[in-house]
Amino acid sequence: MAVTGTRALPPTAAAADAEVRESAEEEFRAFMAVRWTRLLRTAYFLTGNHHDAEDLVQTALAKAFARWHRVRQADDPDAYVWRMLINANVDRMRRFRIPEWLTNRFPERHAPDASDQLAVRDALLAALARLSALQRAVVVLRYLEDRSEAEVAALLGKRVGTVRTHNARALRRLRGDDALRESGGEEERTG
Amino acid sequence: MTGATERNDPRDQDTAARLGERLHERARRLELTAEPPVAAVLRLGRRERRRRRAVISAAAVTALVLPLGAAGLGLLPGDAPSAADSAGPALTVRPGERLGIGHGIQLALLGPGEVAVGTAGTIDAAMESAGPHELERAGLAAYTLPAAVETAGGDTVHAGTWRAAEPPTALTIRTDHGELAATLVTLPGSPTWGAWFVVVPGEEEPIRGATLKAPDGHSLYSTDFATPEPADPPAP
Repeated sequence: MAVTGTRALPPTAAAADAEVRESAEEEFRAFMAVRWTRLLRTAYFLTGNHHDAEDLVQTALAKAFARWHRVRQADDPDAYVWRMLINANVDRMRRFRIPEWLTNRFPERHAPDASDQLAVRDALLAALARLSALQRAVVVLRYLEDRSEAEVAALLGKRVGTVRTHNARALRRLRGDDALRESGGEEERTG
Repeated sequence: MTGATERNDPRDQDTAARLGERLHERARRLELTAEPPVAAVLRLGRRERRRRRAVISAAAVTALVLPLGAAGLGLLPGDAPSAADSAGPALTVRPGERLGIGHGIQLALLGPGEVAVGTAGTIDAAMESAGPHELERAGLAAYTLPAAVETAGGDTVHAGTWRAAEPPTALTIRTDHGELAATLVTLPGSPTWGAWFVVVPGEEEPIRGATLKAPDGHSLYSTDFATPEPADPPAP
């Protein structure tokens, strides 16, 4: 009898909290399962290798989970998470460049640094690696994910004019690159 | 070459089409891990949540103890100072307060080395994803770092973070057209670190270096910024 009475009681605030947390976690798990492969594909072209791509997606998804109450209420939760992915990659590339910022001389040309040591597996990835993190994000979102300039601007938190300029500079760098020749752009350089 | 000229090259269409083809071809051949590492992501996410809560709690305490803000200086959140207004003494803002820095761009200072920059539509997400950068985590005594650049309204808005051993009164930014005074932004009670911003006339104008100055004019810290992009490839 006593047991029946206990069951009839409303759940405590703590139990309700736990229920909400579990429900949110389940929702996030489902979200992650559906987006994982697409995020990984984008991250692969942003980073140039599988290991860094997985790290990057994990970082972005962990940030999304930490703020899941905000992400799930956003107008476009996908855009929110993609933006986190792009920002995490820009931060990652910035860390590679910190030693350059600390120098007291302005280099005449881009000197090889840690970011150049990312595994380069083919001509296309080598060409992308020569772009800045933002230029690379712009061309991957525009030409791999086929997003409009306005969508890219929203994802990057930039104005459309800024996206156009980054895009034009990226295309100028890539023009004439082996990776974009009529044939032979896909031959693997190394294993 | 100006940004507008760059954006009107007729060869871009062909380059873009080829790039799209190559990216899609390469993507079709990709072999990706099918199963997400759920446990690792949840663990990292919980750790991140704890870190964010600690930062927010600390910021709230600071705001309560020293409720001085930009409003006290006659600058309301969201106001957009002009390029001419951006020179002057440090602005004191509350943690997370959005400060208009020109052409609709907003800046929010969240903690040491932690700054968010974006438009009205993107600043929330920038604040959510902001985190202290590597120099701050390494405990460097002095630095000036660029963190964001936006081209808007024919100007280039640059923003970043700084730290100095003693409170600076000025930050001079070197550009291709001379020196400009940037605006320093600090949180209440934190005069030795903060954010900065400057509006440089012209589209896609880079900044070349920065010098933090003490009240008597001597340099507290000076650095040259490397180019943020790889060098142009040689002309074909």
